[in-house]
Amino acid sequence: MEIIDANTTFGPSPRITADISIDRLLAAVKRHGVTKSLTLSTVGIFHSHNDGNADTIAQCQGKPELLPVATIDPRGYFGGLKQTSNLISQGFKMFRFFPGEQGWPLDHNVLEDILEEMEDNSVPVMINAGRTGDASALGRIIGGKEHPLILEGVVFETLAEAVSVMKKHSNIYVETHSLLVPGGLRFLVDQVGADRIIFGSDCPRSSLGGALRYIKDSGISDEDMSKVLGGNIKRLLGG
Amino acid sequence: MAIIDIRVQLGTMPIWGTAFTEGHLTRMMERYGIERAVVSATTANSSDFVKGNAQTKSIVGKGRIFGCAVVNTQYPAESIEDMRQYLALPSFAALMILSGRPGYPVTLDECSDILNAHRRFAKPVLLETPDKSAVFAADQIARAFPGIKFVMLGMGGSAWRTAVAVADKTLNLVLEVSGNLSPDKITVGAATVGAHRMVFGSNLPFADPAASIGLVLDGEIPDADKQMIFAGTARRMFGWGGQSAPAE
Repeated sequence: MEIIDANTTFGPSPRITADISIDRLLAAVKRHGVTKSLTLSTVGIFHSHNDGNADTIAQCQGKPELLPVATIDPRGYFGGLKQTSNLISQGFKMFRFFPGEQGWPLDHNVLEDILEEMEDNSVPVMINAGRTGDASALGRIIGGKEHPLILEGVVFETLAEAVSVMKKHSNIYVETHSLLVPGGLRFLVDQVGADRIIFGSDCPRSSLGGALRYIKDSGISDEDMSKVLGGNIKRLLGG
Repeated sequence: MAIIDIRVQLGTMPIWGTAFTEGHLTRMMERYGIERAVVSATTANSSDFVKGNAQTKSIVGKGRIFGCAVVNTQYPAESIEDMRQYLALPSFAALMILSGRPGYPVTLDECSDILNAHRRFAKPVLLETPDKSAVFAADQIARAFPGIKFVMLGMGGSAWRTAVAVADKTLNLVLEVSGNLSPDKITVGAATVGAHRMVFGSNLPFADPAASIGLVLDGEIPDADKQMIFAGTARRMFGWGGQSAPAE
């Protein structure tokens, strides 16, 4: 079964002592049989999206198992320069945003500007929705559009909200790494369908083995598991 | 590998309102090879420890499920009464002390009377440590009561390195591995304090045991150390040589 991990990072870890180097990521990916990992440099989260995106592209070069992900910090984004299309033309496969870690609210006009700028392409977007209210806000911002949005960091307390938003908006998906509640995956399959669930581990910040085991022990069918572990994100990335 | 899960709650899940029953737990234990579980009642942890402890009492003593009595520092007299009622029973394996206020750790000042009353029971005390401030509070408590074994539930969350550093110096602290899934947590913890001072917990029903089991199996430590974390530490801590819980 092909495994594609939609949520990995590498680079410096200023807030928590941790080795999240690219070598560590590659070793974990190899150990657990992950075919491809969507990844980005944490420089783009903690320092500057320009430097981070450059680091991501450089580190992914020559490593076919890594797919580069771009990030943009809305606090430092001045529109009109077509940066998003430039990033896509450089080979970035997905965009991620980090409101919690960077300290900005989802109610942010520049975020909406960026998402509008990206409407002409179908590159998926992943945004953390770990706080109560995040999924609802994202539903209002991007729900109902064609653009695929992946909610990342959904936990026990925010699962009901995520499901409600996903039922309203067919372009919204959910990533799995924080979803640890027993039966949570089966519940999601029942509620929104296996086609809308994307495997992610947050490796190497979190255990890839733990994230994979949660999926593999979930009791969902092999067909659904295949979609969750790789098929869905592959489809969103264009095959 | 045999597993003992020391962090389980039974009852209605807060927020969701769905039931996690003894039957659900039993099926989980069979699926993951969990030979014993130490449980408290969700009611005890969230709102009413007296009622919750009574619920726990009705479940435990059937061989594989052991109880954890929960007390609340806001109610010291009632807490001590519940300790007398339950902790002498062989089917109750541990005491959990809560502050009664989510997000606020138990402090030494608040729990001294409870712990003085607890000395005679000689059972481990579980403290929730989801963050750094809770780790420091647990350390202060453990230093003041060196004759009691304290388990840091959740191992400090993302501040797990602080929990490891503190446990390295305070020898009556034990680290419980649920919560944060950092892949280094198990390796660093075992190298620093030893696997014999780390214990397995899942935090059911809020987290599937698959996550914590995968985390331990992912640790770069010998299989013997993994076995120690999964079951050996708990066996020694609770004085279980292999016998079932006697019925009361």
